[in-house]
Amino acid sequence: MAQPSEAALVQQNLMKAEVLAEDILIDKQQLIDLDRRRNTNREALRQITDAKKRPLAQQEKKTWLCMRDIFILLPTDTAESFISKDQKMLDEKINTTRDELKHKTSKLSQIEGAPDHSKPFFLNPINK
Amino acid sequence: MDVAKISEAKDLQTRMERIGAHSHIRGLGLNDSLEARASEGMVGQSKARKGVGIIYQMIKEGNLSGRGVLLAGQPGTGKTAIAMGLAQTLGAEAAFTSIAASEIYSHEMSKTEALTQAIRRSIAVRIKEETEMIEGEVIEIQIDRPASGTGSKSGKLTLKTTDMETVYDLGGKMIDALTKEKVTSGDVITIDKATGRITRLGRSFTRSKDFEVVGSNVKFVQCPEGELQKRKEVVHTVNLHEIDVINSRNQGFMALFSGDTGEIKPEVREQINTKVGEWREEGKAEIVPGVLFIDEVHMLDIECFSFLNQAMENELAPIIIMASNRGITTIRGTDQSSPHGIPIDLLDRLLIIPTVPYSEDEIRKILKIRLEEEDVDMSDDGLDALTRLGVETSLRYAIQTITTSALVCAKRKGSQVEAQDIAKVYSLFVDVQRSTQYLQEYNEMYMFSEKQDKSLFASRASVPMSVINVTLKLMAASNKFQLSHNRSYGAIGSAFGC
Repeated sequence: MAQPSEAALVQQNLMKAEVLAEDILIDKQQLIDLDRRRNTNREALRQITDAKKRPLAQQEKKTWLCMRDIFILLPTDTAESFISKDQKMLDEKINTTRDELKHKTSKLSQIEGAPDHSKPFFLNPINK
Repeated sequence: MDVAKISEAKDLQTRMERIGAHSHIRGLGLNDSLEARASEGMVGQSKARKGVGIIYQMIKEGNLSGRGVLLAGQPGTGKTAIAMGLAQTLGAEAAFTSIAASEIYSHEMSKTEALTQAIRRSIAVRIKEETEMIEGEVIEIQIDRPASGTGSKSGKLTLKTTDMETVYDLGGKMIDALTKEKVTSGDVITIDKATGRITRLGRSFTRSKDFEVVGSNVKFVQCPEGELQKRKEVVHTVNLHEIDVINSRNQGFMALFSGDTGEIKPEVREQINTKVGEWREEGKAEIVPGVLFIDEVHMLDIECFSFLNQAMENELAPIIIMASNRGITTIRGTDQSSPHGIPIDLLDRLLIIPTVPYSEDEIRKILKIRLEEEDVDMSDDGLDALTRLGVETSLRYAIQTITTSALVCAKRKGSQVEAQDIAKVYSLFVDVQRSTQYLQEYNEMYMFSEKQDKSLFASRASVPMSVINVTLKLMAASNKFQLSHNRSYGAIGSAFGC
């Protein structure tokens, strides 16, 4: 009786570890994607602020905004607020993903029975 | 890079050449259920080791502090070895400070100050630092200087990782920092988001073929992976003494390296305790109580003992392990005598772990481990003789005989240390008992000799003499090595003669 349940337990554990590992990889890729978007947004914001510094005659009232595969012509101020809003959301998302990632890796090492060195990393930072 | 490697290799060599008395100890040699086995260099003392194993569990859990443990036993029963084993088992998990009790007596520092420093050295605080930084390989730096020569510069910096690439606009200050660091395209750099500090990590490997002539200090690194803006978390473990020193004097942390810390004001310590307490409340710090090992604890005097009494009750106290080889003797600084030379009130607070003399079989095992440690090849006969030596004289004497007999063996160009080598060493170097006996016999021929209280030495010396003869006979029988003398000192004469 004990044999099959033990095997099932092992399988369950392996499955959990696999799922978690996959999840961690996805999160890591997502962090990269999010940061890429954050950087393009930052470049865009810079372009807009630079454009605003030009003499009035050369300034354009509207800005082309590229969202994935569509271009939208928007008033410059609206475009700017759009992007900065997106930027704020991205920052938050990146931070939460990072925190979750930490929990997930520590949980994974727990499932795998590996020594977990992540405990001190859950302390609050001293310099903030 | 090459230079570092050479010095590293040297380091390893010197470390391997030096063999200390306890260098064969690699841990406590306990399994998961705290059963003592003959492993990690530990032999015998299973009860004492099990006891220390329980202490180890206490330390690992970290919520117990301010406990005292006394390792009590005759000389050469492995008290220091057990403490060393504990230190090895603890590894980096907790701070382990080892002092000899005599260390605390100094002209420059009061006894209690030295003790306090040792105690605070054994308590560590774990803290975390978090920084946002941009890390990437420089693809291009473009700096525009205004045509007039004055005015603010502007520029662009293109950075990439293996996954992305982006352009940053640069202000005057960043341009200055970049030129100061001599950053060029192909360098891998980090920029601290909060302070704007730029650090050059090295040149990217992909650019390693750009030039045929490069300076010796050019380090090549891999192009970083992942996102450009990263969060770096660094965990530091510092002990309270280090924090004390950094905050106590004008010269700051340099005192840590010079060792010239002097006395640290209690106010400073008070402040640090409060600060650490605050951090702990805010979840910013974690206290790692460690172990303070005081060897030869009977050398402390009554003032130190009463100080320890009080110090152990402190909230931030480490586990204090003491070792003593004294029986009932006077407490230093008083006329009172007490077990182990420790006042009764302190003794009452300690968990006392006794160590017992090794059995013949254990001595044999220990000698075998030492033989391996010192890389000496010995025949079975030799080991038999050495074990007898360990039983009849002392384990330390037997261990010291290993190296010397190996040298004697090398002198006669032997490949294996035999009983005859050991017999020769035995005749060259006297042990405590023989030396005592000789002194007793020829006391009046020495300078400033006084009539000794015979009863003090009689009990020690009379037994071993018969034993020595037995030992010599055993060696002679095992290897037909003739020692034609009655008194051991005669052998020294003959040894020098030939």
